[in-house]
Amino acid sequence: MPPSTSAVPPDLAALLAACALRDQQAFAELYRHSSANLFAIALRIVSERSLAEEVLQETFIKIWQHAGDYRTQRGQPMTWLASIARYQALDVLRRQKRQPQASGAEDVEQLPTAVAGLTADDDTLQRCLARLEEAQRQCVLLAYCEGYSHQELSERLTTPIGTVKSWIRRSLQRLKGCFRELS
Amino acid sequence: MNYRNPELRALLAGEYVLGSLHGGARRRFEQLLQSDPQLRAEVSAWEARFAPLDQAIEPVTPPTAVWKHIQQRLGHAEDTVPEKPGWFARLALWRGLTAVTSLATLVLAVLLLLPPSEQVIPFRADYVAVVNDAEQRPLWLLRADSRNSRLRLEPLWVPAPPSGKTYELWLLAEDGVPRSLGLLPQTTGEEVERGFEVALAGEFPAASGIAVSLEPSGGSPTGLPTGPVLYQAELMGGAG
Repeated sequence: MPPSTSAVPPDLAALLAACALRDQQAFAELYRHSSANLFAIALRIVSERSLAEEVLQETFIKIWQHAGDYRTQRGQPMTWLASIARYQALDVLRRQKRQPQASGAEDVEQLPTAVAGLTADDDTLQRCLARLEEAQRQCVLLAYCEGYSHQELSERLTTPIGTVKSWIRRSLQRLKGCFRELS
Repeated sequence: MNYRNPELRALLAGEYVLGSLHGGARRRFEQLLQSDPQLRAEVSAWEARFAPLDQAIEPVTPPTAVWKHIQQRLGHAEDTVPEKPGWFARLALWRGLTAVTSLATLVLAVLLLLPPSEQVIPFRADYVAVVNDAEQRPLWLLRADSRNSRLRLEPLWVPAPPSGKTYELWLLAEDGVPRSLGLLPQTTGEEVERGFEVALAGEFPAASGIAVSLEPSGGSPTGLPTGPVLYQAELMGGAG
């Protein structure tokens, strides 16, 4: 199925609600609009294409089964969908026990791009991430974007695992404080 | 682990979202999430904070085989392809329903009547209908629990609708205006349970029956039957 080229933004909340009422057309429409984004999220975490396809399949099965659970209090529909994909990807990743990257260069270079890619609307996250120390910011981005575990971060950044854990904790505290301050 | 400490909760929620909560700790946290709405709110807050990192990602088109597998796993009709004008026209159907301004609000109104998923409301049918064809072959069995705005639809022997068409169920209300009860299961198979618009529950006692019409994919775009009414059935019940 080709990705949607419609210029009109889809009403994802409406599509999810229709899916909850078992509307197969709405589900197809939801897939058309969101699958490329969700596939990219899965791919960034599990790296291997065939695994990412498996993740995407499970993700949409879950979306169909749990569409009725979505509430506007849970946040934006796309965020809800993306979370399902992310957690599914993390599950698959943990089961696979990924090999630590042999050459770490490419990943680390792409991280600033992940941040630079944020649009003006997303200023807050960008500004708050900027307040973290370099190593802490890398931990957060590698964890969120690529699903690095504490162990993998420790190996990748050649830092004791205890230090990595406290970096993450401190980063989360700082980010929360920063968001509270800027919102 | 003291899950009541607010700072610790916020931290755990953040770690969960980041993905740095593993194995047993992750499973315990997921169990907690099911029964703790405030913790869910913390998780939602973190997801929202990090969401731009997912929005900025370059989309990658998945292979078509993935969609086929999903349809097969879910037992969906394999020719379900979204048609561009179809969906937005169908949206008008939902917006036309009385006392509802958006589809999301509609579903929310229905789902809010249901208890949290840990408890299950027993389905107590107060209305029943059997939709037969001209040869008195039963096609669908309908049971309604009007007090909880829920329907159980069993497709006993459903002739495949023509391509691009769909069966829609209508309540024949007392004022003569058919009210949509949504789409029927389109193929013979297992019973489906779903909700319907809460406001329609009050129409059941005085309704004269139900009807099935053939509509464009996704249902009538107008809120009234646009295609031929293929079947009608008496609605029995109302007691208790």
